[in-house]
Amino acid sequence: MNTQIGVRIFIPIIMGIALIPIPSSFLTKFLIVFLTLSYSIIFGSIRYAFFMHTLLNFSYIFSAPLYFIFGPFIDFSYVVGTYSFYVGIIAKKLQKTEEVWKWIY
Amino acid sequence: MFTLNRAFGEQRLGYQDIIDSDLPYVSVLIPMHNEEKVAENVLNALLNTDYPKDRIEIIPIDDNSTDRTREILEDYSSKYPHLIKPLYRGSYLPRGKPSALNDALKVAEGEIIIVFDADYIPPKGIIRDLAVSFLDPEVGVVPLNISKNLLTRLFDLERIGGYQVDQQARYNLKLIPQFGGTVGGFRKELILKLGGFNPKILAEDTELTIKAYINGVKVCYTNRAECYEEAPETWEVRAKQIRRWSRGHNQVMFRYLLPLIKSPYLSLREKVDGVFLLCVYLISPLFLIGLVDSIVLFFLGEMQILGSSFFIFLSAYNTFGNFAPFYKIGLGALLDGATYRIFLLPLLLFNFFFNMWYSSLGFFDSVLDLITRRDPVWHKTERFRNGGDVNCCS
Repeated sequence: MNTQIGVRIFIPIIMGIALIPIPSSFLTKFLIVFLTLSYSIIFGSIRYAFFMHTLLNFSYIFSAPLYFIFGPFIDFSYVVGTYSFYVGIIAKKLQKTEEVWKWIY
Repeated sequence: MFTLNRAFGEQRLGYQDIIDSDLPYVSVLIPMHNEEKVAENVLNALLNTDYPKDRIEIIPIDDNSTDRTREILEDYSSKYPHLIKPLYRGSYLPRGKPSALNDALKVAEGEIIIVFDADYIPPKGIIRDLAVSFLDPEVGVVPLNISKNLLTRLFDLERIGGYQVDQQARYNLKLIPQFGGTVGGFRKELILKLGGFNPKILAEDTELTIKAYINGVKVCYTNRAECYEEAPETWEVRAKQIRRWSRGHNQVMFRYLLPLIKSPYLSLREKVDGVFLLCVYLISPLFLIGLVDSIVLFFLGEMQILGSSFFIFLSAYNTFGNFAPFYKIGLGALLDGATYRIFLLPLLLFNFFFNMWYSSLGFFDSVLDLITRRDPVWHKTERFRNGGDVNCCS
């Protein structure tokens, strides 16, 4: 539970810092952070229920793989995944306006 | 910090943007061991260079090859005798890139030495871009950006992050940009003064960078100069490459950490960056130990440490440290003009575990090297060249 709370507190910070250098509007960046956070809350709740169901109906032996494979590791994946998806889209758009990146080389 | 600097900081110009005259005489060295798949391409690419032909010599070094490499070099040498001057090393000489480079330095006539690995395809203007940097007498070493390859997308992303962001930001911040070894140049006089390349070190590039800085020589990074590089196509080859890099880098760390800290030529910020640079391959074994430790703690029921202030520290670290490589690569790819390739970024998570394992093995190899004082044996990275052939003298 602490891990989940931590993830939700830090998603806006992590995503915020990561998106600062990306050339797009504040509103779009806010939307991306909001969507990631929403996904985290919904996905985290379903995952929590799944963990409880598995541990209560099967065995506590599953607690280790559940934590290490489907825990913070997965949170890490979707945060980086959302970021990469967004940056990929922005990069595609920027290809048409490369001149704004005066210091690329 | 590097990512933010690269995004918002003032970018230091390369010398090629300022001056381009009185070009120095350049010797291009290409160490080769069984390079029949790639030898013709690198030689053709170099023959296509726009550098004045009377100011350059190309010295491919055949390091006891058993394939057609020697035959190819003899053919090119007979066609271009004043330009291509191969050096053949027999089986009685010690093998390895540092030994090959040391022998070539003895016959090279250029004041500036540029080194290419045989799998690189240098573009037309690259020799000029590298050579003009040496018109500044304080510049001793020039590494360059190697941001494109032919085959492996993930490897490409890692390289983009390293060169497009790390190296350029280090150069901007007047820290320690690293001579990549695979492509770069240096003054012949400097390398001879520093004692040549150490054949017992697997990371001769890192060693040269650190030795140069310790002795008060500047390294100038040339981001604009780009070069095609072949990426390993199989996980097995990649694993060997990472393990060798880690082993070599840690050999340099053990040898030069204290001299770097004590060097009178370095500023405090250069020393701090130098320590980080030298210790970068220590992170993998530390992560591995941390992972094993957390699994043990989990089964001992001690994972409540995550509920204490330690959790705040861990989260902060994850924000600024652990995630940083992904964002660095993201921005690097953006700067490099990559588009949909950036979607592959999450897959680097699996690369991370792969790299962690083999870097850790490399670290333990280097510890054993240190304890047993054994000499490492060079293992060449296997080539796969499929397509991308270069024709000569276009």
